[in-house]
Amino acid sequence: MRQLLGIVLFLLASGTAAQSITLSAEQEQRAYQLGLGLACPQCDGQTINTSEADMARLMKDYIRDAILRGDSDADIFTFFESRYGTAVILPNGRSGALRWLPWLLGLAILLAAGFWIRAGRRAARADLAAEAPW
Amino acid sequence: MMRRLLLGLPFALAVGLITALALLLFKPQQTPRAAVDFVVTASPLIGQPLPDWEFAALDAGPALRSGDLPALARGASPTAAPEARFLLLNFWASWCQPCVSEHPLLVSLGNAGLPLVGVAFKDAEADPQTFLARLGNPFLTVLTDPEGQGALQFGISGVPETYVIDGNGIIREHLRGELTLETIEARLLPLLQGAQGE
Repeated sequence: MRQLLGIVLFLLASGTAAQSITLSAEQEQRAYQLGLGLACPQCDGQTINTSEADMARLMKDYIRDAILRGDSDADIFTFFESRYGTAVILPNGRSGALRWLPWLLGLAILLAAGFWIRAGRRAARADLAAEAPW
Repeated sequence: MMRRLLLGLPFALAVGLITALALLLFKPQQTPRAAVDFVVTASPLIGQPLPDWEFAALDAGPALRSGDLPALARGASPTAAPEARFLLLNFWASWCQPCVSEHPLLVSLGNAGLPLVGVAFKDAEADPQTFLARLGNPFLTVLTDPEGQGALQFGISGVPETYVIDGNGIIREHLRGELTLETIEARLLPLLQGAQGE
Protein backbone atom coordinates (compact mmCIF):
# COMPACT_ATOMS: atom_id res chain seq x y z
CA MET A 1 0.00 0.00 0.00
CA ARG A 2 2.82 2.31 0.97
CA GLN A 3 4.65 1.45 -2.24
CA LEU A 4 1.56 2.15 -4.31
CA LEU A 5 1.03 5.48 -2.59
CA GLY A 6 4.64 6.35 -3.18
CA ILE A 7 4.41 5.53 -6.87
CA VAL A 8 1.22 7.55 -7.28
CA LEU A 9 2.81 10.55 -5.56
CA PHE A 10 5.88 10.12 -7.74
CA LEU A 11 3.76 10.05 -10.90
CA LEU A 12 1.90 13.17 -9.82
CA ALA A 13 5.17 14.92 -9.11
CA SER A 14 6.55 13.82 -12.46
CA GLY A 15 3.79 15.76 -14.19
CA THR A 16 4.40 16.03 -17.91
CA ALA A 17 7.23 13.52 -17.72
CA ALA A 18 4.75 10.80 -16.84
CA GLN A 19 2.52 11.73 -19.75
CA SER A 20 5.20 11.83 -22.41
CA ILE A 21 7.28 8.80 -21.47
CA THR A 22 5.37 5.61 -20.67
CA LEU A 23 7.06 3.00 -18.54
CA SER A 24 5.86 -0.38 -17.37
CA ALA A 25 4.83 -0.73 -13.73
CA GLU A 26 8.15 -2.39 -12.95
CA GLN A 27 10.06 0.41 -14.69
CA GLU A 28 8.04 3.02 -12.78
CA GLN A 29 8.95 1.30 -9.54
CA ARG A 30 12.59 1.32 -10.57
CA ALA A 31 12.44 5.02 -11.49
CA TYR A 32 10.83 5.74 -8.13
CA GLN A 33 13.51 3.85 -6.22
CA LEU A 34 16.27 5.64 -8.13
CA GLY A 35 14.61 8.96 -7.40
CA LEU A 36 14.74 8.21 -3.67
CA GLY A 37 18.48 8.04 -4.00
CA LEU A 38 19.07 11.39 -5.70
CA ALA A 39 19.04 14.85 -4.16
CA CYS A 40 17.48 17.75 -5.98
CA PRO A 41 20.38 20.19 -6.45
CA GLN A 42 18.26 23.26 -6.13
CA CYS A 43 16.03 22.31 -3.18
CA ASP A 44 16.93 21.92 0.47
CA GLY A 45 17.65 18.25 0.96
CA GLN A 46 14.61 16.98 -0.95
CA THR A 47 14.84 13.95 -3.17
CA ILE A 48 13.99 14.53 -6.81
CA ASN A 49 10.82 12.47 -6.30
CA THR A 50 9.16 15.07 -4.11
CA SER A 51 10.35 18.18 -5.92
CA GLU A 52 8.78 20.06 -8.80
CA ALA A 53 11.87 22.20 -9.38
CA ASP A 54 13.32 22.47 -12.90
CA MET A 55 16.40 20.38 -12.20
CA ALA A 56 14.43 17.69 -10.35
CA ARG A 57 12.10 17.34 -13.33
CA LEU A 58 15.04 17.17 -15.73
CA MET A 59 16.67 14.50 -13.61
CA LYS A 60 13.46 12.47 -13.42
CA ASP A 61 13.08 12.72 -17.22
CA TYR A 62 16.67 11.62 -17.63
CA ILE A 63 16.07 8.59 -15.41
CA ARG A 64 13.01 7.55 -17.42
CA ASP A 65 14.90 7.91 -20.73
CA ALA A 66 17.83 6.00 -19.29
CA ILE A 67 15.59 3.16 -18.11
CA LEU A 68 13.98 2.94 -21.55
CA ARG A 69 17.31 2.74 -23.36
CA GLY A 70 18.53 0.04 -20.99
CA ASP A 71 20.98 1.84 -18.70
CA SER A 72 21.73 0.10 -15.41
CA ASP A 73 21.18 1.73 -12.01
CA ALA A 74 24.95 2.09 -11.74
CA ASP A 75 25.09 3.87 -15.11
CA ILE A 76 22.46 6.33 -13.96
CA PHE A 77 24.12 7.07 -10.62
CA THR A 78 27.49 7.43 -12.34
CA PHE A 79 26.05 9.99 -14.73
CA PHE A 80 24.70 12.17 -11.94
CA GLU A 81 27.75 11.75 -9.77
CA SER A 82 30.03 12.81 -12.63
CA ARG A 83 28.01 15.99 -13.11
CA TYR A 84 27.00 16.87 -9.55
CA GLY A 85 29.46 15.06 -7.29
CA THR A 86 28.83 12.57 -4.50
CA ALA A 87 26.64 15.11 -2.70
CA VAL A 88 23.80 14.32 -5.12
CA ILE A 89 23.70 10.63 -4.16
CA LEU A 90 21.51 9.93 -1.13
CA PRO A 91 21.29 6.85 1.08
CA ASN A 92 18.35 5.03 -0.51
CA GLY A 93 15.30 5.31 1.70
CA ARG A 94 15.34 4.73 5.43
CA SER A 95 16.75 1.79 7.31
CA GLY A 96 14.27 -0.89 8.38
CA ALA A 97 14.31 -0.08 12.10
CA LEU A 98 13.48 3.58 11.65
CA ARG A 99 10.60 2.79 9.38
CA TRP A 100 8.40 1.12 11.98
CA LEU A 101 9.52 3.17 14.96
CA PRO A 102 7.26 6.19 14.40
CA TRP A 103 4.23 3.91 13.99
CA LEU A 104 5.01 2.01 17.16
CA LEU A 105 5.54 5.26 18.98
CA GLY A 106 2.16 6.55 17.87
CA LEU A 107 0.51 3.34 19.02
CA ALA A 108 2.25 3.53 22.38
CA ILE A 109 1.09 7.09 22.91
CA LEU A 110 -2.48 6.12 22.09
CA LEU A 111 -2.31 3.19 24.51
CA ALA A 112 -0.85 5.42 27.18
CA ALA A 113 -3.59 7.97 26.67
CA GLY A 114 -6.22 5.24 26.85
CA PHE A 115 -4.85 3.86 30.08
CA TRP A 116 -4.55 7.33 31.58
CA ILE A 117 -8.15 8.17 30.79
CA ARG A 118 -9.31 4.85 32.19
CA ALA A 119 -7.23 5.32 35.33
CA GLY A 120 -8.63 8.80 35.75
CA ARG A 121 -12.21 7.55 35.46
CA ARG A 122 -11.58 4.73 37.91
CA ALA A 123 -9.99 7.12 40.38
CA ALA A 124 -12.91 9.53 40.02
CA ARG A 125 -15.40 6.70 40.57
CA ALA A 126 -13.41 5.46 43.54
CA ASP A 127 -13.42 8.94 45.07
CA LEU A 128 -17.16 9.28 44.54
CA ALA A 129 -17.76 5.86 46.03
CA ALA A 130 -15.67 6.81 49.08
CA GLU A 131 -17.63 10.03 49.58
CA ALA A 132 -21.10 8.57 49.07
CA PRO A 133 -22.71 7.64 52.30
CA TRP A 134 -24.65 4.70 50.80
CA MET B 1 1.32 0.15 44.30
CA MET B 2 1.38 -2.59 41.67
CA ARG B 3 -1.52 -0.94 39.88
CA ARG B 4 0.33 2.39 39.78
CA LEU B 5 3.31 0.68 38.22
CA LEU B 6 1.10 -0.99 35.58
CA LEU B 7 -0.61 2.29 34.75
CA GLY B 8 2.74 3.97 34.39
CA LEU B 9 4.03 1.32 31.99
CA PRO B 10 2.50 2.67 28.73
CA PHE B 11 3.90 6.05 29.60
CA ALA B 12 7.30 4.64 30.32
CA LEU B 13 7.11 2.84 26.98
CA ALA B 14 6.15 6.03 25.18
CA VAL B 15 8.95 8.00 26.81
CA GLY B 16 11.38 5.20 26.09
CA LEU B 17 10.39 5.10 22.44
CA ILE B 18 10.64 8.88 22.08
CA THR B 19 14.12 8.77 23.59
CA ALA B 20 15.14 5.87 21.37
CA LEU B 21 13.84 7.61 18.28
CA ALA B 22 15.61 10.84 19.18
CA LEU B 23 18.87 8.99 19.80
CA LEU B 24 18.54 7.02 16.57
CA LEU B 25 17.81 10.12 14.54
CA PHE B 26 20.74 12.02 15.93
CA LYS B 27 23.28 9.23 15.81
CA PRO B 28 26.00 10.41 13.38
CA GLN B 29 25.72 7.57 10.87
CA GLN B 30 21.94 7.76 10.76
CA THR B 31 21.46 11.50 10.76
CA PRO B 32 19.19 12.39 7.87
CA ARG B 33 21.41 13.96 5.23
CA ALA B 34 21.73 17.66 5.93
CA ALA B 35 20.41 19.99 3.30
CA VAL B 36 23.22 20.15 0.79
CA ASP B 37 24.14 23.62 -0.33
CA PHE B 38 25.18 22.96 -3.91
CA VAL B 39 26.51 26.47 -4.26
CA VAL B 40 29.45 25.58 -2.07
CA THR B 41 29.99 21.87 -2.76
CA ALA B 42 32.97 21.11 -4.98
CA SER B 43 32.03 20.51 -8.58
CA PRO B 44 33.31 17.26 -10.07
CA LEU B 45 33.60 19.01 -13.43
CA ILE B 46 36.55 21.24 -12.54
CA GLY B 47 39.57 19.92 -14.36
CA GLN B 48 37.41 17.80 -16.64
CA PRO B 49 36.78 18.21 -20.37
CA LEU B 50 33.56 19.90 -21.43
CA PRO B 51 30.54 17.57 -21.54
CA ASP B 52 29.56 16.98 -25.14
CA TRP B 53 26.37 18.72 -26.18
CA GLU B 54 25.02 20.56 -29.19
CA PHE B 55 23.17 23.78 -28.45
CA ALA B 56 20.88 25.51 -30.92
CA ALA B 57 21.53 29.20 -31.47
CA LEU B 58 18.96 31.70 -30.27
CA ASP B 59 18.64 33.65 -33.52
CA ALA B 60 18.31 30.65 -35.85
CA GLY B 61 22.06 30.91 -36.38
CA PRO B 62 24.33 27.88 -36.61
CA ALA B 63 24.17 25.38 -33.75
CA LEU B 64 27.24 25.16 -31.56
CA ARG B 65 28.77 21.98 -30.20
CA SER B 66 30.69 22.14 -26.89
CA GLY B 67 33.75 21.08 -28.86
CA ASP B 68 33.57 24.40 -30.75
CA LEU B 69 34.01 26.46 -27.58
CA PRO B 70 37.79 26.05 -27.04
CA ALA B 71 38.44 27.66 -30.41
CA LEU B 72 36.40 30.66 -29.27
CA ALA B 73 38.47 30.77 -26.10
CA ARG B 74 41.71 30.83 -28.08
CA GLY B 75 40.07 33.48 -30.23
CA ALA B 76 42.27 36.37 -31.27
CA SER B 77 45.48 34.87 -29.89
CA PRO B 78 45.87 31.51 -31.61
CA THR B 79 49.59 31.40 -30.81
CA ALA B 80 49.19 31.85 -27.07
CA ALA B 81 49.20 28.76 -24.84
CA PRO B 82 45.69 27.28 -24.94
CA GLU B 83 45.55 26.73 -21.18
CA ALA B 84 46.04 30.46 -20.72
CA ARG B 85 43.08 31.44 -22.85
CA PHE B 86 39.68 31.55 -21.18
CA LEU B 87 36.05 31.81 -22.11
CA LEU B 88 33.03 32.21 -19.87
CA LEU B 89 30.03 29.99 -20.59
CA ASN B 90 27.08 31.55 -18.81
CA PHE B 91 23.72 29.82 -18.30
CA TRP B 92 20.99 32.36 -17.60
CA ALA B 93 17.29 33.05 -18.13
CA SER B 94 15.19 36.17 -18.59
CA TRP B 95 12.90 35.06 -15.76
CA CYS B 96 15.74 34.81 -13.25
CA GLN B 97 16.34 37.77 -10.94
CA PRO B 98 19.96 36.95 -9.95
CA CYS B 99 20.67 36.75 -13.70
CA VAL B 100 19.52 40.37 -14.01
CA SER B 101 21.72 41.31 -11.04
CA GLU B 102 24.87 39.70 -12.38
CA HIS B 103 24.44 40.80 -16.00
CA PRO B 104 26.27 44.16 -15.68
CA LEU B 105 29.32 42.22 -14.43
CA LEU B 106 29.20 40.02 -17.52
CA VAL B 107 28.97 43.13 -19.71
CA SER B 108 32.02 44.59 -17.94
CA LEU B 109 33.98 41.37 -18.42
CA GLY B 110 33.03 41.36 -22.08
CA ASN B 111 34.17 44.94 -22.48
CA ALA B 112 37.45 44.02 -20.81
CA GLY B 113 38.09 41.53 -23.60
CA LEU B 114 37.02 38.23 -22.03
CA PRO B 115 35.14 36.03 -24.53
CA LEU B 116 31.66 35.06 -23.34
CA VAL B 117 29.02 32.67 -24.63
CA GLY B 118 25.51 32.71 -23.18
CA VAL B 119 22.96 29.89 -23.00
CA ALA B 120 19.31 30.83 -22.45
CA PHE B 121 17.97 28.14 -20.13
CA LYS B 122 14.30 27.10 -20.41
CA ASP B 123 13.42 30.46 -21.90
CA ALA B 124 10.92 31.39 -24.59
CA GLU B 125 12.34 32.68 -27.86
CA ALA B 126 11.55 36.36 -27.51
CA ASP B 127 12.30 36.91 -23.84
CA PRO B 128 16.09 36.43 -23.86
CA GLN B 129 16.33 38.81 -26.80
CA THR B 130 14.35 41.45 -24.94
CA PHE B 131 16.56 40.90 -21.89
CA LEU B 132 19.75 41.42 -23.91
CA ALA B 133 18.37 44.42 -25.75
CA ARG B 134 17.59 46.04 -22.39
CA LEU B 135 20.66 45.05 -20.40
CA GLY B 136 23.34 44.68 -23.03
CA ASN B 137 24.73 41.70 -24.92
CA PRO B 138 28.25 40.67 -23.94
CA PHE B 139 28.03 37.30 -25.69
CA LEU B 140 29.97 36.28 -28.80
CA THR B 141 27.04 34.02 -29.54
CA VAL B 142 23.79 33.33 -27.74
CA LEU B 143 22.73 29.72 -27.51
CA THR B 144 19.50 28.23 -26.27
CA ASP B 145 18.57 25.25 -24.10
CA PRO B 146 14.77 25.30 -24.18
CA GLU B 147 14.23 21.95 -22.42
CA GLY B 148 17.25 22.24 -20.15
CA GLN B 149 18.78 18.94 -21.22
CA GLY B 150 22.09 20.57 -22.10
CA ALA B 151 22.15 22.14 -18.67
CA LEU B 152 21.74 18.71 -17.07
CA GLN B 153 24.78 17.47 -19.01
CA PHE B 154 26.70 20.37 -17.51
CA GLY B 155 25.60 19.60 -13.96
CA ILE B 156 23.64 22.80 -13.62
CA SER B 157 21.96 23.25 -10.26
CA GLY B 158 19.98 26.31 -11.29
CA VAL B 159 20.50 29.61 -13.04
CA PRO B 160 22.65 31.61 -13.20
CA GLU B 161 25.62 29.31 -13.48
CA THR B 162 28.96 30.06 -15.14
CA TYR B 163 31.80 27.90 -16.43
CA VAL B 164 35.31 29.10 -17.09
CA ILE B 165 36.65 27.09 -20.02
CA ASP B 166 40.17 27.17 -21.39
CA GLY B 167 41.55 26.78 -24.91
CA ASN B 168 41.99 23.03 -24.36
CA GLY B 169 38.31 22.54 -23.63
CA ILE B 170 38.90 21.92 -19.91
CA ILE B 171 36.51 23.34 -17.34
CA ARG B 172 38.76 25.36 -15.06
CA GLU B 173 36.05 26.77 -12.83
CA HIS B 174 32.39 26.04 -12.15
CA LEU B 175 30.68 28.98 -10.51
CA ARG B 176 27.23 28.30 -9.16
CA GLY B 177 24.83 31.12 -8.43
CA GLU B 178 25.09 34.80 -9.10
CA LEU B 179 28.47 36.16 -10.17
CA THR B 180 29.73 38.77 -7.75
CA LEU B 181 32.88 40.83 -7.49
CA GLU B 182 33.92 38.56 -4.61
CA THR B 183 33.52 35.41 -6.74
CA ILE B 184 35.38 36.99 -9.62
CA GLU B 185 38.20 38.05 -7.33
CA ALA B 186 38.43 34.71 -5.57
CA ARG B 187 38.00 32.34 -8.50
CA LEU B 188 38.41 34.03 -11.87
CA LEU B 189 41.23 36.43 -11.08
CA PRO B 190 43.71 33.72 -10.01
CA LEU B 191 43.19 31.99 -13.37
CA LEU B 192 43.76 35.20 -15.30
CA GLN B 193 46.78 36.14 -13.19
CA GLY B 194 48.25 32.68 -13.62
CA ALA B 195 47.79 33.02 -17.34
CA GLN B 196 49.56 36.37 -17.45
CA GLY B 197 52.91 34.76 -16.91
CA GLU B 198 52.52 32.78 -20.17
